[in-house]
Amino acid sequence: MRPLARFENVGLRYGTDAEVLRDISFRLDAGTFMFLVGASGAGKTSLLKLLYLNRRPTRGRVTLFGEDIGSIERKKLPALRRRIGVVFQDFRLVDHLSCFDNVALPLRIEGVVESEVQAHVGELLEWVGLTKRAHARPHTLSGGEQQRLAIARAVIARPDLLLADEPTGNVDPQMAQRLLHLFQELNRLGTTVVVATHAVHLLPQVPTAMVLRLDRGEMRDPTGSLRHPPGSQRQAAIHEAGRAAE
Amino acid sequence: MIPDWIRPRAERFRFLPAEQAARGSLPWIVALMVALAVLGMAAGISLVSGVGVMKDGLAQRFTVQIVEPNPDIRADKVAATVAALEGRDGISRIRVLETAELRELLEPWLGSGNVGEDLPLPAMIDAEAESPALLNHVAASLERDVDGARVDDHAGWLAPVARLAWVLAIVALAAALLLTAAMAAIIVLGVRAGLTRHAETVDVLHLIGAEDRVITQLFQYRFGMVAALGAVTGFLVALLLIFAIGRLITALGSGLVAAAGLPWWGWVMVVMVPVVAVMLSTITARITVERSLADVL
Repeated sequence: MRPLARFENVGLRYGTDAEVLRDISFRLDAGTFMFLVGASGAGKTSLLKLLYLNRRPTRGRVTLFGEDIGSIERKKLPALRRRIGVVFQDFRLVDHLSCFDNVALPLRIEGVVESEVQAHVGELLEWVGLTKRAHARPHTLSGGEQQRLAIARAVIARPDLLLADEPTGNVDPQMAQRLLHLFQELNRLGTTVVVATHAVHLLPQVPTAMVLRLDRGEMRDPTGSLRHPPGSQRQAAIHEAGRAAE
Repeated sequence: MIPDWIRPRAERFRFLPAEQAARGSLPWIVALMVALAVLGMAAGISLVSGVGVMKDGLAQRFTVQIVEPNPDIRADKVAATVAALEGRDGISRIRVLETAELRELLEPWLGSGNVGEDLPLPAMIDAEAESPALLNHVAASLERDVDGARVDDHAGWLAPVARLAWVLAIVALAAALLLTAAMAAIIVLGVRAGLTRHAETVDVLHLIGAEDRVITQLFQYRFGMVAALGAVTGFLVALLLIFAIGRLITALGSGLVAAAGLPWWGWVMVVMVPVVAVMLSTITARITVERSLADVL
């Protein structure tokens, strides 16, 4: 498979503080569904920041869509960012815009013609069940609605890579499951999905997912045996392989 | 209403919250700066132009003054001087000033009715030479041939006035330039404040793929509009003042002040002030945003 992202001994620090990420190495193939797990402060959001091009690594090498993020020219970043959809932990919805305009934002930035924008956004709002709130301002929505709106904005431009930071943090278990199904659906359509979460109980619901576990800025389980959730088909296959080897 | 083709996409779709151009003090500051710059420039150009007009009129004029207490000898010397002047090619408009005219000239200093018949007055002869070289030549020969004759060229006494006018004009133009620079500095502060106010949204726009130029165009447009509003207001106010001052000057009706007026090129320069102010604001906004955004990834 073609690698969509590759981390090689990556370190990240903010200013002169201690490193928040240390020696991170992994490869993310196109079409993968990956869970990024770890306790609060483990470095999940920092790792996502590297993936959504909010930071350059302070050491090591991050390659995304074949470009070295550490040395890429600034003017090339917008084109790469348009290939990435992000669901931020705090949603980061644009409060002066309506729900419709929030979802339309990536398309309008890209310069898509307005008739197409209207059609696509209407369709997606219906998909996430927010058609009736299309003209409402984000701050009038419930946490779950805001979450769905943020997801709609992240996926409207059909990104190659979808990053979600604690996307189930503000929703009830039922909604969490629905959102996960939505991500799986996108993944089936070819989008590479990375979900950062501390809700490990969600992991078995995506049996094919790869798991990357972070602990205080470092990757745990470097052998890769825990890269797949307990009970998953991949995990079972690894155990099978291990047993056969013994 | 502003047509859509003028407004950048980011403004049409309100990527940043709408802000009324007239809200806040910025348009008024721009208006004040433009008004002062226009007045400064108009004053400077008028002074220079006024001195130019006067110099053109007086450059070849001269007065021969004959100081002689004896009226009979004085009359002889006047006749000799007039004859000498008339005998020269290139000398025209020879006129001997009447005693009454001389007395009138002295009245502002000595008081009306205080210039007695017994007060000895020099004789004065006005004339015009067709070139400064001829004037110099005539002056030298008269002062040599006619005892007590002294030649005053009018351009000579106008020189210090011209120098002063130039200095004042340069000061006025420098003030106009400084005001423009101050306006640019205020625009920089305004743009930075705007970027800080909308930092979160700008960050989101960046992260979902907006190029710098999307944000730059938006700020450029908004600050251009603010500057245009301020510049038009300031220009109209300055124009009213120029006309009002012009009427007062016309009423005075004499000397350098009366000669002062805006020539056509002066009007062009004055009209350029608000245009330059808007262009400068737009460019300043653009550069400020570009530099600020270059600091973030």
